[in-house]
Amino acid sequence: MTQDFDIAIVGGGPAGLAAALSLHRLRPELSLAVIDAGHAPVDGRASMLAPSSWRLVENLGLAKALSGKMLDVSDMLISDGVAGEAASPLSLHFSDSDHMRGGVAQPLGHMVQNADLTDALRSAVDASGITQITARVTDSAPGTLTLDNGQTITAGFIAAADGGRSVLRRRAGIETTGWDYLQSGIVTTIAHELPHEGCAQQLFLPSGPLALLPLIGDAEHPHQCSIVWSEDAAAAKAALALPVDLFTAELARRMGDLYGKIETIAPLQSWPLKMQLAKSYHSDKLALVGDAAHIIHPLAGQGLNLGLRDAAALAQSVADGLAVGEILGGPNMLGRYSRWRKSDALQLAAMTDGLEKLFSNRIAPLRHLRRLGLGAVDRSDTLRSFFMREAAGETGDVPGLLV
Amino acid sequence: MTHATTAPEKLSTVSVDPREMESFSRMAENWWDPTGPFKPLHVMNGARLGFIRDTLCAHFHRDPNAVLPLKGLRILDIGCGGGLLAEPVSRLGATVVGVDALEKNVKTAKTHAIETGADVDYRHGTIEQMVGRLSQSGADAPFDAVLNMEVIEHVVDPAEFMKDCGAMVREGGVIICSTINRTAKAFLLAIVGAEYVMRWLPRGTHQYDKLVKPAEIQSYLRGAGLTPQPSVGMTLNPLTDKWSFSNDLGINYVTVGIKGSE
Repeated sequence: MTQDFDIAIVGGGPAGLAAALSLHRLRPELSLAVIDAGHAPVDGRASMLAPSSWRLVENLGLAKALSGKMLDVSDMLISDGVAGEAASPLSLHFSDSDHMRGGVAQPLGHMVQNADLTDALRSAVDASGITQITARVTDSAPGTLTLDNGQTITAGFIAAADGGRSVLRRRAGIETTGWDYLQSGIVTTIAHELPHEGCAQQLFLPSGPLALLPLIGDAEHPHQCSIVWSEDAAAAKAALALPVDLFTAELARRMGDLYGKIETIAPLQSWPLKMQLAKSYHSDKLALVGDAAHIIHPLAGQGLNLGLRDAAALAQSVADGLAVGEILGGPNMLGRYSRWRKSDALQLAAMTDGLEKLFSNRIAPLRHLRRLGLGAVDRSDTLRSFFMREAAGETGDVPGLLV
Repeated sequence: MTHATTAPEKLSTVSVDPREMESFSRMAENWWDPTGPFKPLHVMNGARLGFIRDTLCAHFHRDPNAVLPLKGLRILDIGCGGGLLAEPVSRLGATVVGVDALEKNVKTAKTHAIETGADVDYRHGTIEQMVGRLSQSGADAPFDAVLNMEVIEHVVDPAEFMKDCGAMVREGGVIICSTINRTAKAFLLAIVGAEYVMRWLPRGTHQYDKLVKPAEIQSYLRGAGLTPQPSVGMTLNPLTDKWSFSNDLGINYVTVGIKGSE
């Protein structure tokens, strides 16, 4: 059986679902299909939605579904440290007063579990009438997909949101560049004794950054953080093999007495850290969205945000093109999307890679310089607000759905 | 189609310059490659189509945000080339006739329309042939709008050409005419810059003495029985590759004429 759509979106993760909703929002007359294999494991990660991503969530009508599942982040503290020592007194502190909009201090971001965000997006897709197909793609050609349920899908173009190992990207012959950080990211959730007070912390340890991302608590564990612990691959493997109490003790040693006693309350997940950038974000009747286009180091917490910005920019590129009679999925429309997103992703990739290199260096003089650097940024209003706008996704050309 | 067999060299000389035909003929296959020799037109296309859509919607009282804002309008794209303008205008809902004196262009346009499923009536011929047939038939001028875009600077007799365009527009209809000004700035940027330095356009695409000043366009429009509106400048930001509209008529500009006194 062959079914024809204006746009087929492959991948039911946050980027794919947000792309479908954004397109539906801007051009409701388009016929859309979201195709997902439907057996992805539960994503144990949490993300800080940058302010621009939060506005997308609001513009897509998801704020209500996420209320009670989200925490406003009022402070961010970035510090340099050595496991077993107190964090450096020279650190970088951002607070909500650094992020003013219309004279009012705005949260620096909103912490949400990836699984909760995905659920909210999926419910909205359910309610929108967008076609959803549970199947795996077995073959593809420009504008055509063959599915393992025997269906053939044709479309004006295909949005590939099928993740870092994107099959559609590979089939289209789009190459990637990048490198492995030879590190793994370990993700879990911890409960702790002392309140986090809405503060997100990034501890730059010599072996890799440790992020403590505040979450909304519950009756059993009122104080919770999602952690992203980046560690040399071998050390991460050893840490993952530890009994949970010893793993917790290792983690506690790195955190010092920051939040008092800690307890690991979720399964451990891990994956290798790498930088992977597609050389182009489009080819004939194909646009890459989210991780299919770019994977960056998680230290700035920007991966999910980049994917959401892709979704909004794709919808905007389609709407702008259709308003002047462009071919749906033609080279002008997709080329514009590709160039737009590539520059944003490259900038963030360069920034996170630079930070990773700077902070992973253990040489003592560099550590001192680094601490001084953090102190200098902390005292410079111009630099502070630059970093804030960059992290907030508010630099460059911003898609309409993010405003 | 009897007119489709007319050879270009037999076409009358009001609009067709053999030297121009030769240079466009060499590029005909590349019309739809956004990175090819017509890249400047692709870059400009979004802006000029936005202008066409908004102008026609304002003039004919339509909603520019509708899915098919130009639905039902009958539009002639004269000098349609490979269909870079005719095709998108048809996708905005208009009924479009695209005419070009170069048979190769018409072939490219037709082939592309088949690929994309666009519904455009492409014809090989000239405006003066169309006017001749119209006056023979005694019918009313059939078009709500004639698009005369980036073409008047390539014709032999621009005043006659504009008159022929005007003859194809119904009372109350419009001509939208865009071209390049004959100024030192246009010479430097549109000819020396675009053709010789940046190589955006093949050398010889534009000849300086054939460029047209806004006052001349205004007078050609009046001579064709249309009321010219003030010309609007189009400026390219080379850093962002984006066109915007301004008061600067120094290089590219567009002029609307309304047929009748309105």
